[in-house]
Amino acid sequence: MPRAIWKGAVSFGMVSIPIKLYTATEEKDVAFHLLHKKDGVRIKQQRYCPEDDAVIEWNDVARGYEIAPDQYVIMEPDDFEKVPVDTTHTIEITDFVPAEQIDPIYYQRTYYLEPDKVGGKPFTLLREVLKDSELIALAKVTLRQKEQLCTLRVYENTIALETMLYADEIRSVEDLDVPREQKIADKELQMAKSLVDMLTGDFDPEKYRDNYREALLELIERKAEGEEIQRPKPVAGKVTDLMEALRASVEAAKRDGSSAGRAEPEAQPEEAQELERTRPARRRRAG
Amino acid sequence: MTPRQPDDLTAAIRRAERSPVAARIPDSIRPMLATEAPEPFDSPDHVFELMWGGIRCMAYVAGGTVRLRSRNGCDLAPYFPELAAIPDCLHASDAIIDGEIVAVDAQGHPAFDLLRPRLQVMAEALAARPGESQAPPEFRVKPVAGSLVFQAVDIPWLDGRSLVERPLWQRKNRLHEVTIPAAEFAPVDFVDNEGIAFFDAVVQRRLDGIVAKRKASPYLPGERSNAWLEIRALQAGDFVIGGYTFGGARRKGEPFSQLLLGGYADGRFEHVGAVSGGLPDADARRLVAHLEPLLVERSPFFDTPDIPRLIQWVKPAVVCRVRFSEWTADAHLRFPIFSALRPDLDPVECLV
Repeated sequence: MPRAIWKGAVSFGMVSIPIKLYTATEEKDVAFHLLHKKDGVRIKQQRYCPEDDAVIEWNDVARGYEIAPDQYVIMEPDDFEKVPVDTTHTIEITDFVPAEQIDPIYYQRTYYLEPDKVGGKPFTLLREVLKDSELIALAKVTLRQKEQLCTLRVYENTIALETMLYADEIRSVEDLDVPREQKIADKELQMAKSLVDMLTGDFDPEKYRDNYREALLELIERKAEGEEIQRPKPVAGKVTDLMEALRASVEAAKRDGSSAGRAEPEAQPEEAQELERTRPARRRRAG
Repeated sequence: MTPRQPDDLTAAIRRAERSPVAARIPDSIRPMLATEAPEPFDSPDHVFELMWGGIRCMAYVAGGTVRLRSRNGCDLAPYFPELAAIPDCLHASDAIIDGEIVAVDAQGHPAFDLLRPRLQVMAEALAARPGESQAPPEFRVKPVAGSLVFQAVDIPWLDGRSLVERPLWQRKNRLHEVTIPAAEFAPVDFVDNEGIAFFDAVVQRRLDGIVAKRKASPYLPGERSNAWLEIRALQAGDFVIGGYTFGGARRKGEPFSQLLLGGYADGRFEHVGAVSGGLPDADARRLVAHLEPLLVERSPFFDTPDIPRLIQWVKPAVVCRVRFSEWTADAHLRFPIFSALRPDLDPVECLV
């Protein structure tokens, strides 16, 4: 398991359960570096000030919040420390709710909980009560200086924490142009339903793969290796001699260009097609 | 042996391939099969190999030992003890090597007939222990007249990881990297691009034919795919014995005059011809003894051949390899010659 990203405690009534958080998911993007086309050297990013026409150092960079066009409030590092944040490192459970009441749109990122050695028993208690009640816990947690709403739910043999967006972070659907109601014939609905029935199954995540990423990686690999197959190391022996002799014939034919006008060793094309029709199975088999 | 469903297996292999940790080597991967193509062709997207015409064999190497399995899942190791050295020829903790067991004659040409004695004892050993895919524990074989070599063609598994979804050219490179070629074990050589000139050279030397393999193709266990195309120069096939005849131009002391051969088409056992030449009397007698437990009263053929001779029918359970000149217009073998028994193949796989 990689390094824990956070250490703290789940507070659940009178109990406090010491735990660690681990990132549960990883996105598998194909990362590229930016290079200078001509010489293949990694390029460097620099901060440029158009006013001075000069490259400036990190020390001379400040953060500004735009309050009006071209008008900024500059925030110094000290200012950020003045913001009151909860640094208690607790995940404080406030409610238990049925999972289906939370729309998936609220979910952000997933972390796994792992109990500290002393937390094993209360951790198990929490997990079992979540499992039994079929509810999920709502809690608050401060991660990366940001207080966030989150849920705790049973996942496999542990508890998963999902950070959530606040209601004001969800955009409204009001501005979308979506038809409210429209007359649909029973027949059409029936057809759509039967199509759904045909495609109904259980969710199997193994079934779905990132085709683009795989194709991209394959292309990269092919470019890296050039699709060349290295010839096997030769062994002294008759088998090698035979292949050498055959390859010499191929080379000779290539030099003469004789393979274009070669003698047909088999039936004429029309005849071959005829055979194909009368006994297709004969052509299929090989082994 | 009861092979696992190929779907399950493929799914397991795919899971293993994606898993970040090394997985245990699968018990079995069914060999990928080729389709037959009528004509050779040139292609930069293919490699062209010689059709060695040997015994297809999957070699499972793990823990310094090797298991050898035939197409029909039989243990080949007791009949080819020379191949116990395969693990010494690999720089790998475990691997599955797809290949062919080939006998090579004094001229360096592959000669399936040289395998006949080994296949004969294998057929007899399996018949003596029906239902057992394992060989009897105590077993001795005679040296092959010529030399025996395992021609490695593919590597669907290496060092705890499945390679089935890798393209052929990558698998070949892995195979070539991890092998220490020896007289008994070597990756097959190949020709690039020039399929037609290669085929012509193969025809000139009266070799079996060539196989064209698409460089970008994955390994498809148990599938007959057109990513691998066989182009035959000499006709040969595997057929099931459905009976034998007496009389006619039979020499004195000959145990039979012809073997009646058939194959399956749409589930029906169809007659394809009769083979007489190719067997010394001693071998023919052994063959008749081998067929004895299978004698039946009625013809097993869907289209019983009309042969004005005394015929002994046989349950279609024994497969043999036959060389022949061509298929006749009415789908029979012209000038067939017996080559060897094929205990490594199931009769139902002999399609015509």
